Amino acid sequence: MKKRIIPSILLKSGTQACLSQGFSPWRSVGTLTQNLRLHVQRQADELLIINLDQAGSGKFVLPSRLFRLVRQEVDIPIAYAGGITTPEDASICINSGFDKVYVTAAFLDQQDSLRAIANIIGTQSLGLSLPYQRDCDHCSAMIWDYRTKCQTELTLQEAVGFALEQGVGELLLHDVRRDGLLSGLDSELSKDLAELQPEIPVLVAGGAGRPEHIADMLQIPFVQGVVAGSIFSLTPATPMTIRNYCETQGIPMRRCSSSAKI
Amino acid sequence: MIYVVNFPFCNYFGLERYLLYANRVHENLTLDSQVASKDTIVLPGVGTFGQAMNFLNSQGLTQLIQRHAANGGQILGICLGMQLLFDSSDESPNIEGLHLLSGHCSAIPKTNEFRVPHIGWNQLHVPVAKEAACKHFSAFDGFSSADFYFVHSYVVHPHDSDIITACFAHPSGLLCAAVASNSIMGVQFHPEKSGSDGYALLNHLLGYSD
Repeated sequence: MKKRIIPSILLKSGTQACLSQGFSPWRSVGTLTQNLRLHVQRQADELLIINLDQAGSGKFVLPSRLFRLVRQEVDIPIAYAGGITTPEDASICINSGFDKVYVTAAFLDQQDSLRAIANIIGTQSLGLSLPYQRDCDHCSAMIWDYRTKCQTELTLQEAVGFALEQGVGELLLHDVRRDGLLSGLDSELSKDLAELQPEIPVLVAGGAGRPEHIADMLQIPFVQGVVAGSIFSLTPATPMTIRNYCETQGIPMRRCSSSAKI
Repeated sequence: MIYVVNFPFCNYFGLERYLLYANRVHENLTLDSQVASKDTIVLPGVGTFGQAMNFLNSQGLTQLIQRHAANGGQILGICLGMQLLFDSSDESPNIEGLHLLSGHCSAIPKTNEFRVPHIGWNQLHVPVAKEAACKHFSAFDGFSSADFYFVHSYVVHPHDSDIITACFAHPSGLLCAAVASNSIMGVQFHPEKSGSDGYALLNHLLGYSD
């Protein structure tokens, strides 16, 4: 299997894309249309849209303009996150053109709720996004509730264990402390994952600022991909340049035919 | 004409984007569709084997698709759509598939090196050249130099290995990634989600009916 480079697009105020630091939006970086076209043109492996307007809202609405743009612009896998709490919410996303959905609040509120969603849309279409925080570099990772902006009493290890029992197809582990800082991803995850030995794909996010950061994380056997936002807006790196660098480090990455490379 | 089965859960819009991009005349397959033998039926698919077959049966499409195959019409199954071409699947015991190709689907074995669901980009390994295989997938066409997007937990095991036209690597050996037998074709991966390389492959596959 090839490892994946996955740009994330945070949406705020409709179809405005923005960057975040510590899970708080802080800078606008164009429209959804511009970002979709850019990432597709730059040969991203997948895309993740996170709708901040919907996240934690308690009432799910999928804006029609959003999925029309996705259908129009995207020829690679694309996932959606933001406000999905029920099988019906997830179904709307899949039927509208998304390939996967990520949930967080549904898991935080009721850990066994994910099974019902997986039964409807399929395990392979359901991901669980787990924001987490460490109080220090070697401290245990604790799940962080983005709605209250507080740590929960659930450890990352416990959360992953629960998630695996619920039929989740993929995990996204997001370091809140490093989010948007471009200072590097959480290397302590290698120990956590070595203990957990997850049998499903794991993606990591939070802190990628250079291709070297991403390559170091993808060297971990349990990590299948890196999700990143700021690096693609604030540095010259593109999915293709990062893939090329990772290949030089011996990491198996997606191959595109020569006519498609950018 | 390309007819598409619009399952309740499927990658319909991804496929539709390709069809619009490639300017291919297409419509949804219904019981009233006047399908000619030179037309193509495409089965996309996300979800479970049982859900998909229940949908085909309830819509009266199972016999229509089987009749089209018997008349020599082209059929392309994508991902779950490819699995439906076969007899059965461990995912949904006691549910019969379309029986267009002989074989069974079973869960991809999990190992430390191979995560299931099989999600992500992977390369195709073209089997040792056989005439049927090379007709649809050939190193000369360049498809073995690009990767394609997979997302599945089950894999097909055709009874006749000669119909396997491409594989993906698994610690247990090569597993089936594509099949072709006369006018019936299937791909386990998603060409409609594999960027420009995927679109080029769809041009190649769907161009065979021209």
